[in-house]
Amino acid sequence: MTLSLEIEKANYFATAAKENWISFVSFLMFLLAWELICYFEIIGPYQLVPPSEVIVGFFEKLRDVNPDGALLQHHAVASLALALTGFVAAVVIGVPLGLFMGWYPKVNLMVRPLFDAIRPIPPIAWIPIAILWLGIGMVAKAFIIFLAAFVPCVINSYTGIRLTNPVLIRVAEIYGASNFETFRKIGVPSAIPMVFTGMKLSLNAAWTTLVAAELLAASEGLGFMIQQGRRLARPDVIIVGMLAIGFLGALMSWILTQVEARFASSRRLS
Amino acid sequence: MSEDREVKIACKGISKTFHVPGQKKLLHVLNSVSLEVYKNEFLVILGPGQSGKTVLLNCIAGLIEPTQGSILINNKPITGPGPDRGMVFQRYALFPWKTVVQNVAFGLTIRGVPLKERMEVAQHYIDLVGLNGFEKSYPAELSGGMKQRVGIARAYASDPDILLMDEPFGALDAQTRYAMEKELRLIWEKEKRTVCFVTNNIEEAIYLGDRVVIMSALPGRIKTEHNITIPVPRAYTHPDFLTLRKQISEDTDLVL
Amino acid sequence: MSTFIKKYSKWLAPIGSFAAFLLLWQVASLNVSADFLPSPLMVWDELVRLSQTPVGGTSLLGHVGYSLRRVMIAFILAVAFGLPLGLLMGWNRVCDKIVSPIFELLRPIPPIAWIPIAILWLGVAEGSKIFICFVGAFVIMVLNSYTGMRYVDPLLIDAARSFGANPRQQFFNVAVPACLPSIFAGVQNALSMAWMCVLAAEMVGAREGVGFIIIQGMDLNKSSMILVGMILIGIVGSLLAALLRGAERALCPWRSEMV
Repeated sequence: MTLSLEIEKANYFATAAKENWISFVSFLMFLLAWELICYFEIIGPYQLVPPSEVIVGFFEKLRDVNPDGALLQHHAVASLALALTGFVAAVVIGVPLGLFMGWYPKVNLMVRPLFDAIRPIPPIAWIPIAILWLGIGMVAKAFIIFLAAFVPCVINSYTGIRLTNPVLIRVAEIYGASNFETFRKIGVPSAIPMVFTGMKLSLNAAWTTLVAAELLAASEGLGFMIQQGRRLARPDVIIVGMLAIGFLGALMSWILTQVEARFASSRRLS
Repeated sequence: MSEDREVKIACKGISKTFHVPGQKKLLHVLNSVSLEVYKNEFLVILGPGQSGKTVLLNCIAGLIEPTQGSILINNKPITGPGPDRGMVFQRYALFPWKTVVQNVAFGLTIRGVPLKERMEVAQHYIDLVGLNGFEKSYPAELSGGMKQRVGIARAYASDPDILLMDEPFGALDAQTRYAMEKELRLIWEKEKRTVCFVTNNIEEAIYLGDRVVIMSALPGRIKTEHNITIPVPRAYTHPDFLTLRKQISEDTDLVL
Repeated sequence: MSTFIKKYSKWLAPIGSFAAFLLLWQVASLNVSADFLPSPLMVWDELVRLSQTPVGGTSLLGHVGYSLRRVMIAFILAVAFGLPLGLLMGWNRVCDKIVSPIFELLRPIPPIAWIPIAILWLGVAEGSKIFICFVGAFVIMVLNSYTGMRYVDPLLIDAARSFGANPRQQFFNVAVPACLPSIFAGVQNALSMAWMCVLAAEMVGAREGVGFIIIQGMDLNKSSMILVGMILIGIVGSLLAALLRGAERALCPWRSEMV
């Protein structure tokens, strides 16, 4: 009866608690199965380590620079710094650009050709040419991350402002607002939800592309760390790294959602 | 008119309480409602906006379980929804991926009736509601009134004893509404079934019903009932109609 | 004249846009060395050259074929497993509660981050590449199907119930068709994700595939080769997306609003 009109259950709260127990037990079973697979060496110790070792490995990496040459925090900060730089740059340039493109046909006409040519090419495919142009350094990586984060920002801001309610625009016209004023006071605020959607996609793209870039050419960062883990056949390092990547990605996304909730509610356009 | 006083639906002491998620309070929607519906009667349940009448109808349909009380259909307690009760919804609830004829035949498809027979039955009811020619159209291509006609045909086609209609014309504009009321009465005269019709529109109630039961605002209970003895076809502006309208209007609660 | 413009206006904009882009490119390439940014003509020459001479032992089309093969295998597996799982999780709360914790743990990890462990497990051969693409496409498929199912209008389910449909009939006859738009969105996103993942996997370690071509270009310092690869990647990706959109239009004729 999951989708019916029924919202009542006499033991409503008891059911919710029971459901969470199921999740809890399921997760425990998963960890147990994982632990046992390693214990009985169904998958060898050079390929998979049990959750217990992952936890140990996590704490070790906080203090030990082996085997990849840096502490976990160091890698995390390096990765975050790069990803966030690219992300912020993409938002600062991409969102206004998308908004202007959506509102002013002339801007759209000018930027479109370049944008449409870049769009179908996955950001990862830019890595080799970026390395050729900018070398194996921070600049190349920042460029690629910027490209990856830039596209969703533009597209979503563009779509967001194109969906402005025409009735509201008409109202502004009647009150004698200039085109720019209408843009600023009606178009932009009504595009905010889609701008945030774009930002979330953009952040995800930035983080993913960062990992890819670090896998291919880096000397620090979480992507580098897991690549080293592979080279040295240290699955514990790899798994700690993967989980760290996942966790940080989810954390940043969550922060962005909180910002949106705060921002959007105080500037509601109703 | 032969008096079929056989009781089709018997509701005894129906009460319904909801747990609203996120609030500790309970919402009492129905308060010991007892109602009997006779065979082939067109019963109208009239009530203001928030009076639990939809909930009552859903209980009879078996979509919701009452917190207290019993419902007997043909003297047997109900155990959930069934093909003996067909339902027409305010928001049409047509399946957008199915054509008109596929929608109308839905009840038969569920019961596993073979294709040829299904299509014949569906065609009969499509003709009955006057949608001949639109068999292969999709709901998105139809107007509101046409969509509801599909809804009515669909409910009829699965051959239920009882038709439950939940404010079926509530989403239509005024003109279409009058037209549909007239059509529904004609359709029902041609193929009589026991009907339970829920509405908040007094005119509609008097126009359509053999008997009108008036519900109070939340928590809902039956306030009073009226037997409509005005001969059919009824005129909205007939003096008897207007007198009754005034009477019922005073009986209903105003909810803001 | 105006009727001519009206008739072909749909094509005028993209063609004009493309021509403008080529012009921009040509102008930019004149101001920098050919090694840095080759002109469009040079890239075209390179494309012709590459289609005639094999790269690393495989023809150009062969490379595209390798990439497509990996993508398709991973994509089909992802849909075969991800679609039913997502639908079931959306339909049945117990199933949702059982699978969710594990899914939510693995979901935030970008598919690319799986590359090292995939190589550790499956070597540098086909298996690891298909696995990466599978992970990426699978997650997307599950999420889209799940969301689609959760957003099915409860009214439709109630309508089905009122006709006496049992849960199995409700699921297959009503819920799943109602989700088809979301399912298609998921399929399209999953395919484009698989395409991106195959590139990453090939760039990390492969001897065939379009990812290999651009890495070769980088190793050989031939920017024209890289650009040919990039253009190929863009074209194939767009074609795949267009194909799926066409399939959706064919299979869902009741969807009048085409996004």
